[in-house]
Amino acid sequence: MQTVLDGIYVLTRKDMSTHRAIPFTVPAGARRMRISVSYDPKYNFDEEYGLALIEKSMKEQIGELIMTKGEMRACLPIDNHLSFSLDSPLGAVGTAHRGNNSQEFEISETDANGGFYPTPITAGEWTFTVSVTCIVTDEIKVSLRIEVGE
Amino acid sequence: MKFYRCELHTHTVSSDGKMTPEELVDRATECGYSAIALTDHNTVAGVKRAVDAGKKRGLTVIPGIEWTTFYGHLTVTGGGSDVLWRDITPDNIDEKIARAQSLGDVVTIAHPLRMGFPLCSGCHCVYDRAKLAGADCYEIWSHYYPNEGVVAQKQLAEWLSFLDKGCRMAAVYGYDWHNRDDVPPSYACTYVGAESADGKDVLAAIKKGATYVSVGVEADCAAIVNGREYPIGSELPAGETRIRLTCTKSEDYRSDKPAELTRFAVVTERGREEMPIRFGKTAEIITTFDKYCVVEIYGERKREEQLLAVTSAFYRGGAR
Ligand SMILES: [Zn+2]
Ligand SMILES: [Zn+2]
Repeated sequence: MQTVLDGIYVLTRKDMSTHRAIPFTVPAGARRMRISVSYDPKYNFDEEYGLALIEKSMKEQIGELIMTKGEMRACLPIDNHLSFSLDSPLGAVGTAHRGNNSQEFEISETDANGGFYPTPITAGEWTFTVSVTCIVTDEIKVSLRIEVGE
Repeated sequence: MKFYRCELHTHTVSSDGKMTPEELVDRATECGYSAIALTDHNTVAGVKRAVDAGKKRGLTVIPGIEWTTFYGHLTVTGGGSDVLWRDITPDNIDEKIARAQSLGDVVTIAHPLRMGFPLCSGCHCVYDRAKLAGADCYEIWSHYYPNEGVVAQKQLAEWLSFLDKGCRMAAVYGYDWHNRDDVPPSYACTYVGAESADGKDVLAAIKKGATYVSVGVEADCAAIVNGREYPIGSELPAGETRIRLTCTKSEDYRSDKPAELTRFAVVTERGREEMPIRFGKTAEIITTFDKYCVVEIYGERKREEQLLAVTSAFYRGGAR
């Protein structure tokens, strides 16, 4: 496998509800792609902060508290959530939306996993997009490695 | 026309669900559904496998997706839409809904008033409600314990306010099915009055508004005007309207079955009228209205009186 992208990307609270597009180039002759992505931290273990944020958000969104303190506590720790999309020169290749902070995807013309579609590993400009669904820590560090091979 | 038990909001391992498409289809078949829609978050990667598995098991699987945006979730069912979720913004959501509908899909506002950030970011809908007015359906109930609690009450009230503005929006339930749930929690289902359980017929019926949501009650509900009978979702001619209702217990319902009915209410833009009702007995309310008329059915469940079923509307005054 040949590594076509290997990077670390830092997201901050300002990136909440935004898409970070990361372009990369696929050389001719590739038939499969492996994407390894992980991010850290997943959780904010500050219980006091978590409870206060849940309570404040619930009042804003619902207009009243619909959980007891105990029920709120059961929701801790609050966590970050990122979702990942892929676009090839031919168009959208799908989205991976789940809570795991370490995921690996394999894509080829005949197979794909994790929310992506089988697609030819066409030479040219591709884009990996990190969508920041939720950030509850000051920073999230995203490690991304994309490899292609025959 | 017959009312089919449907579940229009489900997930698989293609997003954050725990079941493979085949496991979801097996489980839905065991649970007695006639049709399900697969609505994974922002992907249709599991659709083909689910549809194929459905053909083998005799279960209708409607292709779909859940637009899981930062500002709210909408399920889009039918498989025709070409809208890319990342292109959706608070400014263009109305155009994206119209685009999906123009390609034959049914658009549903999903769990709009559920708690969002920081527990379920994006789950709480903050789209301008005027820009959602063209949606086909509104999930008045969602997930576990769907008819209980403040969020369900507020969603019901918001849906009625859409009807009051002249919107034609069917009431649906969304299990938002992520796990196998071998020990079933309290949940509801959407009954769809369709010509058959075929996907096209089910979607056409939802578009007409021939639905009701229910926790364990099967409702035979019609409006009678000038001696003619009209099903839920119909545009009614002018005249005195009799709302006729007969209910039975759902055999298929898995948990927290209702013990007995207590009353039903006819809710219109003018207010509400109520009448006692029991399982197996037919009751009628005579009403007048100019915009919409919805039926709410109450009964005893979990040793308290609960709202057990809500029908989509009968309409007057022409489409919006
Ligand atoms: Zn959702
Ligand atoms: Zn969902």
